[in-house]
Amino acid sequence: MRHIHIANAAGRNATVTYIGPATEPTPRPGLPGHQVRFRRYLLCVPEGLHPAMQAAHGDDYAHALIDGDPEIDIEKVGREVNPVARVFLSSKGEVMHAVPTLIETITDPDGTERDRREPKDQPSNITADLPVTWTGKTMSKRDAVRRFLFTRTVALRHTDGLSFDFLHAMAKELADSGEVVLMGAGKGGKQPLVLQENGSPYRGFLEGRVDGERFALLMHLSHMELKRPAAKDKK
Amino acid sequence: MARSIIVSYQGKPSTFGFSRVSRNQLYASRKRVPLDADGQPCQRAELSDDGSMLIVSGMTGQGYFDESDHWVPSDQMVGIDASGNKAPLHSATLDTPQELTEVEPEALLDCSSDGVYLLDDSQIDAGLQKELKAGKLFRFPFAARSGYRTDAAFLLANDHGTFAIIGSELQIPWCELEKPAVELDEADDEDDDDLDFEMF
Repeated sequence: MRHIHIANAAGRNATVTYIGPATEPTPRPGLPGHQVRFRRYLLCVPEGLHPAMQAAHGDDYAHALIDGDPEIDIEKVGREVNPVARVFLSSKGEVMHAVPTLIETITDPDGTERDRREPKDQPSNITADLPVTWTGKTMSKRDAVRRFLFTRTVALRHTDGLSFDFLHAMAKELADSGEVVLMGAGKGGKQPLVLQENGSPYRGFLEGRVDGERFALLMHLSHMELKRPAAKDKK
Repeated sequence: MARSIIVSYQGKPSTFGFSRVSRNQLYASRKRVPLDADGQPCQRAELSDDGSMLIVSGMTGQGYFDESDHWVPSDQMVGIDASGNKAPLHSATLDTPQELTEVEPEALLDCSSDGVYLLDDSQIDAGLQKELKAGKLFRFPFAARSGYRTDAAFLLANDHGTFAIIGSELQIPWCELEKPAVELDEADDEDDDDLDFEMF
């Protein structure tokens, strides 16, 4: 069960659970009257890849393909490929038997590499000692959807009567205001929300809905604003 | 020829050119790169399940197979709905006028965005432009190609331009007292109104 340590507007905090709502079901690919299965299969062996074919038959090997099907190994091609172990190859194409060194590159929107650094693990910050808090920054729902792209939504859930009252009150306060509130992690709620270790940081906006005794408390997550990229700026 | 998003509002069409906007176009992006002993980027590969072959990019294909392990060409596949029946085939919505419906912000919040397009609004109807500038939101069906699903698209405008957000509808869960959650599988100190979306 996924947990979030969250505080309300008054600073009262509790640890509750959350789920990612499912999307509406859409038709799945199929064949009427048949059971079909999606599979990954071997298309060619290493000797059938372009560099190997080029080395064996020269640059123009189209006729060799037509005449003799040298790219097809009938013993192997078409076999199902099951989940297998991941390996790294060196720049020379050799299997690496030692763990590769990881670096983190930072690339600007124009494609320029800005920085190279040693990667640092970024822990989740929604279950930390300091709760996810209301930042005090509120805006109307209309302004929020016109300003940010929400790529993910999580629904906060109660686990008992006390947490039901806690979350219901929060949902009612937001529903009555008709606004969403920016939530933040860390001291003063300044940090974006990181839901799992090394996960994407998001800005979270809390929305509340109430229907009698029922409530929905939704955290809408955004990692980008609705803006025109610099390269597409109007001249 | 480039295709267009065409919408109709109060009987008047508006035609938009469109281009996808990604986060990497707006903010710096972070990527982890594995390096070999010479400091050069490594290539990822997989080991076949019997350990006899290295599988690199370009060596695999994917597709659907029937009970007899016969490959099923994609043009024979159809959409099957939750009841097991054949779903209706929808045409692509591009280059065909789609009726706009005004919606409230909750309609957009009930969707998870799959993508956003920046629209070229040089051929927008003046009436629609006025409504968008006033902050109104509109919904229309969107399918980039013919298929068995149609996405929800939302037309909106802000100070930066006119956008179409493509989304998938979520099943928003309501919480009731008797139904608590059960176990499932599973900076800087300045009080600045500008939100930092670089975030690292």
